[in-house]
Amino acid sequence: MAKAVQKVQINTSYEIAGFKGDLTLADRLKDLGFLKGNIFKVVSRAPFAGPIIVELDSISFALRESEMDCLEVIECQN
Amino acid sequence: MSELKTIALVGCPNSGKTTLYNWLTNSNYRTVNYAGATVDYAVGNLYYNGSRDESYRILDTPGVYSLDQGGLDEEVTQKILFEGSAEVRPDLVVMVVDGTQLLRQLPTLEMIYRSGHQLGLIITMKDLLEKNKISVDVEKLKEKYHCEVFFFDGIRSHGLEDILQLFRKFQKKDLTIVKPARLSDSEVMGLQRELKKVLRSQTDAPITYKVWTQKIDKVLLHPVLGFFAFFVIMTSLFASVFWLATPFMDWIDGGFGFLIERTLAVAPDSLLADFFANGLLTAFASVLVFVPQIFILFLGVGVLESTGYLSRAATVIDRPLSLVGLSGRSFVPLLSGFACAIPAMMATRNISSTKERWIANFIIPLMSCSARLPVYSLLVVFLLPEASAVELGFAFALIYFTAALIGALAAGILSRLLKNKKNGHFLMELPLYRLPRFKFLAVNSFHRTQSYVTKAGPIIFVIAVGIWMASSFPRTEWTAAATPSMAESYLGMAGQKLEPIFEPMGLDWRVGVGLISAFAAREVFVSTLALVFNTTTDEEGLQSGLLTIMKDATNSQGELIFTVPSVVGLIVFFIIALQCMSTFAVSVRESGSWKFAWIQLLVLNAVAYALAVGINLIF
Repeated sequence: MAKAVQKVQINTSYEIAGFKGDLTLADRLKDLGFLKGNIFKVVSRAPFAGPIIVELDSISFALRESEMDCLEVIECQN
Repeated sequence: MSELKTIALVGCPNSGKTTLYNWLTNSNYRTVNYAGATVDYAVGNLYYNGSRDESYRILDTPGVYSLDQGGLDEEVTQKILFEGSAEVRPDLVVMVVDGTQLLRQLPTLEMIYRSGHQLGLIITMKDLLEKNKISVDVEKLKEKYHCEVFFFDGIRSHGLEDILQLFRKFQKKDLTIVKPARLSDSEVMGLQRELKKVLRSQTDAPITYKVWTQKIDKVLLHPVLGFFAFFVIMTSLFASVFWLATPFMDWIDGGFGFLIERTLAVAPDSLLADFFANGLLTAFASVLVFVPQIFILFLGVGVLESTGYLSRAATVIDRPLSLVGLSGRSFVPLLSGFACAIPAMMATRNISSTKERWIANFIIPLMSCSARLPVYSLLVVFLLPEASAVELGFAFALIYFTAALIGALAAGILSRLLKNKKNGHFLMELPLYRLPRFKFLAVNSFHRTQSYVTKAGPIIFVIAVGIWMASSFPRTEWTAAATPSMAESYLGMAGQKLEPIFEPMGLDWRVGVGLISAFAAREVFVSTLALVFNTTTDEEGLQSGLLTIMKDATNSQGELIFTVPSVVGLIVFFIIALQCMSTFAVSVRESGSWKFAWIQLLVLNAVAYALAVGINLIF
């Protein structure tokens, strides 16, 4: 059983296991396609330790760390 | 002629909705304010086969990710869909869906369907689907949503005729529209499962349409290169605003200079000729001379937006902006502020946090708008008469950098003062990179420039004519020769009364008159200065004549007025002061608060005045 991840790493894929924290923000994430069970890949980090760039299906998003914190994720193997 | 049908285009941001809208209306549209809301949407007319007998009204609604939350922008779409007054209630809602993102956009489609609207579905990005051999089960979608489904290719406009036929065929109905509840998580997932098979890949090859985007993002969003690229792209944007616009501005300036000269030559002693030349034509010139710069800036921002770079730029600058209480979402409004504060303040509507919107609106007037350019260019050339074009470019860059720095400082202070209010979020979609369509971009930039001219123009015009009158009266005779000297005119008398205010800045009443007139519109400063110093146009235009006079101008004590400290003080004054009455009016509207706008007006002008006085007294 994979364990919940605290901090995401670059070049790693994660599965969304649930939501926590700010509910309005969680709804916004869902509207953009971050649904439970979906898998996204962290591809890079913007300059100055800025937003985290992720790919979900065929589209990219930039999320702040605080926004990433709304997602409960588990690391995908391979 | 049948009853006018109203059709609303609805879709997610980046779905290709506005491209379809441009094709449909041929960019023949205007922006309209939704009653009771501060947000505009575009309304255009579609004439079938160019015939006025068969016309449709098309609404381009702001892009939405959902129909039950979001910023002020998205609220407008919700209002049009669910609370439509008779005037804007759509008879047909056309949902525009990016074919590559179909599943993600299903919840919005489902909500519109459930609301009871007549529905049409347009699937865009057909070229990308074809390239990747992905087929869409149109029949399944038709069956599920009881509507017509068409493809549209935004590049070649394939599919446009089908869409037009859909508009012709559907009948207006009296429908009861109910806003449906938000779909639950399980409903959304169920829907996606149900329709997953609608998209079928005909090949096992991996999807290629994002390959280029990924490659470009490796550079443009790189932790180090990304910032460098941002810097280069933004610098080129501003540099091109100056370099590309200069020859056009010179033509306009020179053309009006010539007209003014000829008008005066026709009837040298006529007051009417003087009014035409120094009143009307000068006023026209002061409005039109900025048109090239504003157009180029709108075009440049349009190119960056339609290629997909602006959302990357916002991502790159998010972290630095977050240090002063803003986010990457403020980037585009602040950038637009360098053209004109009015569209910039309107662009703050897609900032979700009230606190951030408040700060952004407060500091937008600190971004040096294009109306300040002629003032800077007069004063900088005065300070550095021997400088080369490159050196002048650096001087301008320094002014802009100072302005941005002061803006950042102000944002930082405001953010500390408002620390109890909730911070906003960033959360930005990074669309695929696309080649822009220059025709649409040019037409859009033209519309936006036109709207600047028609909104700001009349005010500038009236003030400029008013200044001419105040400087030409009182008089005893109706000939140009009987025009009072500046000191004896109404304008001069008012200026002299107010001189004590301008004295600490090292200026006399004549520059004071210029500064007062700049409260109508900053650029009027230059033409007023020309008027009060009795400048005549020489062969190189108005500016060089004015510069010669400024060099030797003295006050009543015989001291030089334009010294290095007083001119630097003036530049700083222009960087900070909120002198534009149109900006004040928009600030009231956008903040919804007279108090906010008054505080902004008083604080910015007080700080500007104090600094200008300080610089003059200390140096």
